[in-house]
Amino acid sequence: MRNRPEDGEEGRLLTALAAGDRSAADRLVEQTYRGVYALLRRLSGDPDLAADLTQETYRKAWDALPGFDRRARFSTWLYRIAYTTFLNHLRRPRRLVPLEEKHEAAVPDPAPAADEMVGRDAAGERLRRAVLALPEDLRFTVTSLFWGELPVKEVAHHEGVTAVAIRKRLKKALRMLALTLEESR
Amino acid sequence: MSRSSEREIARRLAERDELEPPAGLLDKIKSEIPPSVHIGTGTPDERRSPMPFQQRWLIAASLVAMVGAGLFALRVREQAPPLARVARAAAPAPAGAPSRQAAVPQPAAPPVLERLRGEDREETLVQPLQAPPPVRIPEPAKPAAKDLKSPGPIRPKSESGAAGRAEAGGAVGNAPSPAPALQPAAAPRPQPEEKKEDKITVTAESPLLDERRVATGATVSQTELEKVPTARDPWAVLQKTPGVMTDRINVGGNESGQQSGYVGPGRSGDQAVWSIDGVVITDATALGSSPTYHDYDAFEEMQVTTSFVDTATNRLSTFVVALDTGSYAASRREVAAGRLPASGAVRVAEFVSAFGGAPVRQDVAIRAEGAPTPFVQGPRYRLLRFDLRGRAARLKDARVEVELNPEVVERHRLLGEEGRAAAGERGVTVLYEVELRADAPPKGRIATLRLRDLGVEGTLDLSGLAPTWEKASPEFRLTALAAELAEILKGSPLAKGDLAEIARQAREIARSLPKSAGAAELADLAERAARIRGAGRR
Repeated sequence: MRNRPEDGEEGRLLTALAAGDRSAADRLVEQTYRGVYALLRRLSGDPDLAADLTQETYRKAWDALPGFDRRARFSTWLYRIAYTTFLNHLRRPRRLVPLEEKHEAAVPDPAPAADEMVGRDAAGERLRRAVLALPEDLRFTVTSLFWGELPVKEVAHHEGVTAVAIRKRLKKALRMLALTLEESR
Repeated sequence: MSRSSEREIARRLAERDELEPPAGLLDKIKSEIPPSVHIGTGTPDERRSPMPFQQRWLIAASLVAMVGAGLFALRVREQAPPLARVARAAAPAPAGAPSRQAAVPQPAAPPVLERLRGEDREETLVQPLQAPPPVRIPEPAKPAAKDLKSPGPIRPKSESGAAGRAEAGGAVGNAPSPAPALQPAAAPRPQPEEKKEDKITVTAESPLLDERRVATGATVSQTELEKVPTARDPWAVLQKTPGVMTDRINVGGNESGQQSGYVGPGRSGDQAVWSIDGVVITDATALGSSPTYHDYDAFEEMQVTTSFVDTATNRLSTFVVALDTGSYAASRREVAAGRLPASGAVRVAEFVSAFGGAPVRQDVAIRAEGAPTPFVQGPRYRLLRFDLRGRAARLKDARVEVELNPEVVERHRLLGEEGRAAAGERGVTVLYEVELRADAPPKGRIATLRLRDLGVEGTLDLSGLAPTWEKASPEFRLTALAAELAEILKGSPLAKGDLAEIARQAREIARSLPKSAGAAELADLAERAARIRGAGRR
């Protein structure tokens, strides 16, 4: 039997929120938004996009909160929304077109343009792309463990598998990444 | 690949560079917290079985597979050797008609026949019937068959009367035919005791595994095929629909748990909607997974509609106003330079808004109009035009909601793309193509347009529809022509008109609206585009 992962401060805030204390929502945001932003920043490699997606993540979270069954930790649940928001951004890149953008700019291109890579070393960018090119289960495992900084146990709980399975996935992912990076060298 | 490089990758993945969120992000997020936040109130502990759904499913599937395999093995065993199956209802061979089946027993009886004799024989009176000849095996132990010891070889007919029954011998496999020795069944010498003879009718079922035809592999019968699980989730069905593209490949249902992004003809992914029993369950919150796992065997019907939205299912259409009509100007520049614009650069919404109505004094005003057009998809289709005039700054970013009345409108589509409308200098124009219901009441509301942020709404009733294209206002016709031109340039499968016709109609409107330069401009654009396209084809 797994333990319920939702504990501590987060659990208290959720209970307060359920009881109608809206300020608890503020506190939850304060506690989690840095992590969400950092994850999206690492996923996207683009600070502006990461900020936009962070906002979008919370918008979706408020909408989806009535369905949150508190099986997972709030931060894990939020992480999953952020992750999916990012993937959807890749898949449906033209869904939101900022007003300032000219129509030429709305042509979808999941990979960042060369000028977006300013400030990132090429090796880091290659690694990021290699991670994004992993199969879904491996990609989720790598990004949640390293970039979402979730514990193995929590990822396993979310994925409905054992911690051993997650470690195996991680091993496989690292092997694939090593191969990909070796080939692209 | 060495272990050290994997460790190196892990180290690099774990590197923590400074990723401080930009200033103001926290406030922005907080400002978007809705006034009341609802949260699932259930206590999380033991509401669920400790076993995850997928695992339970797998265990159930394994059990079914095991039981199935057991039954299958049992059946195969029953049928080996396959000829053991005896059907007793078949009729005997017509007398005197030797047939392929009525061959001879082998000198050394095959084990199958031995077994048949030992176990499966039946005593009956032979009835001479006109029916397909069964295989019959003489009863060796009967006194009347004294010449035939065991099922042994067929005797030449000169040998004895027993040959009269040789025709009934069973044939199994590729027995050489000693045809000259056979005596027809109608041979004389009826003896009272001969009327009673043992008859064993052997019919063979085609074996499940046909070893003669395949060296390796297997032949799987329809019975088995029907039991093979197939991908019958909505995504598998969706990707088989003509014109629909999904963003992931569903092989055998491996993507059932994920909502796919998908586009249909003339629609972008964000305009796609899916529903079950009329309830829209499109992944609005982009959680990336199906909101519920469905019993795919329970679906009685799946309906995929492309290009238009079923109004009964989804009566609300929303879009955001963006400030841009650049696509129209850019297309004009391209055509003036002798090139057709790239289809991706043509935005229907921007073409439409480039032909907005006259300015108004109010902050915001909504005009609505509708009529049949030469370009709609069928006789019950109408084009609706909503014209929002006002100060662009106020309209910009406004979220617009159009509610279609399902009692009047069967299905609808917003002309344009990306769930947005483009605002020109003076306002926003949007077009909807709707199919009216066959049983629509003579009077009634067609659609209501709301600008919730500004507290403004406008309605269009059936009485507001012009009866014919010609009776529609010149502004309406001009907008419709612009939209059609854009659809043609985009290469939309829903485009109906041709460039020359658009040019001709726009010229006509230009004559009735001498003050407006827009119509003449549109006519020029269509004419030039027609010429470029014509030159390209030659």
